[in-house]
Amino acid sequence: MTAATDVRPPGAAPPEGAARRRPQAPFGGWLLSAPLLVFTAAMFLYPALSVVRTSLAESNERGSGGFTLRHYADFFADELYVRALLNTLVIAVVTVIITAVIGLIFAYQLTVRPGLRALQISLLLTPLLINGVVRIFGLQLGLISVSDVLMWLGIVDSPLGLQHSMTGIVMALVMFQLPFMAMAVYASLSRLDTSVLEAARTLGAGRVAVITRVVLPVAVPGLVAGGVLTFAAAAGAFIVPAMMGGGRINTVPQMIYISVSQSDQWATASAFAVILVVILLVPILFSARWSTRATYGGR
Amino acid sequence: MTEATTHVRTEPSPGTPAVTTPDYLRIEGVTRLYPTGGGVREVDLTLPRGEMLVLLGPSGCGKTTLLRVLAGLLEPDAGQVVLDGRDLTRVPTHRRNVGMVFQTWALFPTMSVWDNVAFGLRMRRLPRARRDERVGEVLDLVGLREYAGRKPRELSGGQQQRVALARAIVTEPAIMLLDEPLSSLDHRIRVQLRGQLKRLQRSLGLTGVYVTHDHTEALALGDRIAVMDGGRVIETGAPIEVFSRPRHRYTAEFLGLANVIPVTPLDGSRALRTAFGDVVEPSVPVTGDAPVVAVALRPDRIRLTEAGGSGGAHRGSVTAVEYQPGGVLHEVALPDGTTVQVVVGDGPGLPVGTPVDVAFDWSQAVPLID
Amino acid sequence: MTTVTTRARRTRQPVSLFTLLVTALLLLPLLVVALAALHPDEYLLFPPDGISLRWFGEALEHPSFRRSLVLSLQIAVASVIVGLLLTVPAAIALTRGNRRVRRTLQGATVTPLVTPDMLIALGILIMLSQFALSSSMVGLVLGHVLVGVPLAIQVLVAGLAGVDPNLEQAAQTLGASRTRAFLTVTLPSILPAIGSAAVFLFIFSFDNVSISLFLASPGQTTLPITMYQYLEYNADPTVAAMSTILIVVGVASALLLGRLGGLGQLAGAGRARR
Repeated sequence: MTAATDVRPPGAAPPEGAARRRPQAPFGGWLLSAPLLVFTAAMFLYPALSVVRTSLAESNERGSGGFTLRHYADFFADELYVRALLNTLVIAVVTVIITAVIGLIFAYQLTVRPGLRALQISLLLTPLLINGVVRIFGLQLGLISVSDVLMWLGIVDSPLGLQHSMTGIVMALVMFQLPFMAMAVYASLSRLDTSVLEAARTLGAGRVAVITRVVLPVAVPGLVAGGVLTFAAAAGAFIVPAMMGGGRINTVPQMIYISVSQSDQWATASAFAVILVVILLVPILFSARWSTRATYGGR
Repeated sequence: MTEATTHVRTEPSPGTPAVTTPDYLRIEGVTRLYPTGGGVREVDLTLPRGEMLVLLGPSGCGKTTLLRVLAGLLEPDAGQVVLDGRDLTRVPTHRRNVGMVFQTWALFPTMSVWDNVAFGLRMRRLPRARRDERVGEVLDLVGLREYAGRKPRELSGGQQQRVALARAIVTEPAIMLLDEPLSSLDHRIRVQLRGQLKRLQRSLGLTGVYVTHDHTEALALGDRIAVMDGGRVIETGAPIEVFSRPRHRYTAEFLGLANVIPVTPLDGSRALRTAFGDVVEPSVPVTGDAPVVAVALRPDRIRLTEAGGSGGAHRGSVTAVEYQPGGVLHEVALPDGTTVQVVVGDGPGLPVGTPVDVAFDWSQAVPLID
Repeated sequence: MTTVTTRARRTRQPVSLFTLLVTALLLLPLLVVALAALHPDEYLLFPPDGISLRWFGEALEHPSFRRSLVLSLQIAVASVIVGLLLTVPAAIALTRGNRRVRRTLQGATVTPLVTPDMLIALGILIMLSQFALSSSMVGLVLGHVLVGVPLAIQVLVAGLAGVDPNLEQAAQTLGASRTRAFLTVTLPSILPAIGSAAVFLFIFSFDNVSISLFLASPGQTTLPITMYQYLEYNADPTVAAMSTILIVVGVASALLLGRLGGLGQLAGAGRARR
């Protein structure tokens, strides 16, 4: 027993954080949140249910009643639609892979070489505020120019035609989604102290080992989050395949738009929409599994 | 823990005008608990007008909770707060006429120093001319007149603290509440502002409650000190009483000024026995029925001589030496494993490893209860 | 090259060539459009062999561009107003409400975030037809607001969370009621966040394609839709000039958001909006 000069008495309760919590909103906040909740219910929840209801309607007329699964069956019976579904999936998966690879390298480089970081992040995010039609138009002009240059150099002898192709669609989607993916991974990596990388190297880890053993596990939550968003964006994209596909490559969103705008087939369009949502749900459900595993494994 | 009820002197301090109740501030049975633990239970305290009460304790002891109950920022689960004969318990914060200085100072970042200080007067709808006059006066008082146009973030920590103080006193509050207002400052500025705060409180005759975990601050600022532990006030008294004659082992350990040596009472007498065999008969009377579990002995009440001298002392050895402003502090290990701290006032002290004889002046020992 | 070097003096941190290259590639299409708009002749050429601003005048005088630009601006302004009226109270509830309110609000804002715009649009279109509402203007505004809400909320919540809760309590000890304390102390502190939210609501409405495509009626098309339809048949310097104007609007929003401190919030708002 001693009388130390710095006595920490036993049983010191946790800090008085509870005393410093934020002021409480009246009615627990229900009143303040009411406008937005009503709005979301009216503009999102109700319309979503309407889509499901319409997809089960007997006929393609507006406001038609009844119950049938015929529109779903029609989708899978028609080769054109199945083809569109496959296109959609291929485009989405390829886009996710390419975006993830570039985004991972980008985020890693930004973490270990943080020079001009604020400026680079601003420049990366700025295009997100620019109109999508304009950006696709720019990409098309750029691809045509590249093609011209290559022809002039004699490397190719006919136009590449990338501005109207599957490749072009993927390029445009990567262009749109890369900033989100890079920032999602970067958010994960920024929790990584760069001295940990140095520590790994002093412990004898080579460059590859550092990436696979140290960087990648930390990046997984960001890659999963970015991947889910990219998949949803790519599979749900309308304007990109419409402009970059040149009318030759069909995807599910285009089928939906055509069903409504050109033939007023409401039930068909709604059934397609439900199918699309189900496709989008698959990676979301997987990611829930993945991210729990990553959290348990990583920490 | 023992009874939570403790009383502060009840006669009005001399020089203050006659008041209807001798206790200007009365806290009765205040309880406020958190689901996660912590909070305060059954606190009773009183304070005469014009005095400063310091709530002293480690973080988590409930002192800030109690202060927030006084401010009305937290509602007590039970008990009441009476100020100047008026029951404040259900009065919302903004009608209580309190002046509070926050630990982070909580200066309004969008307002200038002037507007920060004027805020309380604006809320009270003081006429503009009168308001400007008051703000000017108070800024002069804290020496910040020439910084009136600046934003808080353009000031140093010490200046921000003074703005927070000016903002709290400009409304002439019925009571000042200070929540560790100096804890985020450098030591030198803290000591300087501490003196300024005390002079200001005295000259303006402010009644205040001051929360801190720093016992030197409590000594310097308090007219009364209430030591808190686990949500309860375990003892109160004038600073000198609390420091020289703590009643609880907890207080003595928290203040960290003395050796706390465990003892067991000897049957049928007031005498106590230490683990290393000494029998102690303190001259300070034991109050209450609680058993004495330890005694406190100041480090300068122990004598240290190089081994081999007179008998009757304990043989020990120096394990650490620390040079302090008042002398040399030795940490001495006794054969039974007890370590004691001994201050030797003059000379260079003894090197580590020296065998020493230790003699205790037990007549100065203060008995402690749990 | 890739070794992480810790320099004793970190006066200048290393810059990655890879990130610079990727950023440049993302910006290049915009530069191509802007340069193409400067070409003096009636066809697109990149790089241009001359400089002229005549197509900017042409674009702004083109009747359908002009009409849809005005409509787009009207809708965007209306979206900002409606959006702020919905999101500012909701953001307060999200930072100060009880747990159930917070959960409900999070669900209400996250779910639309991961739903592609065109599905949202299809639902709204079906609903409008059920109620025989054909006012495309109202549908457009509300649809655009729905798209902008998640990000606006996120910015506002970040702003509110950054305000020291002691400030409001300090105001209360000085005699301000709870409402007054909020209005005089907290609200001025979150004005930049409100500004950022307004910019996001504006630009998300102004740029929106998918929802507008479904909800716009033939007589009333927004600018992006007019441009999309125009580009189906002709790509000329006029549309490049109009595109350049939109690029300027986007860059201006980015600069404004940079000033207000909300640009970084964009990173977390990846949504299926193409």
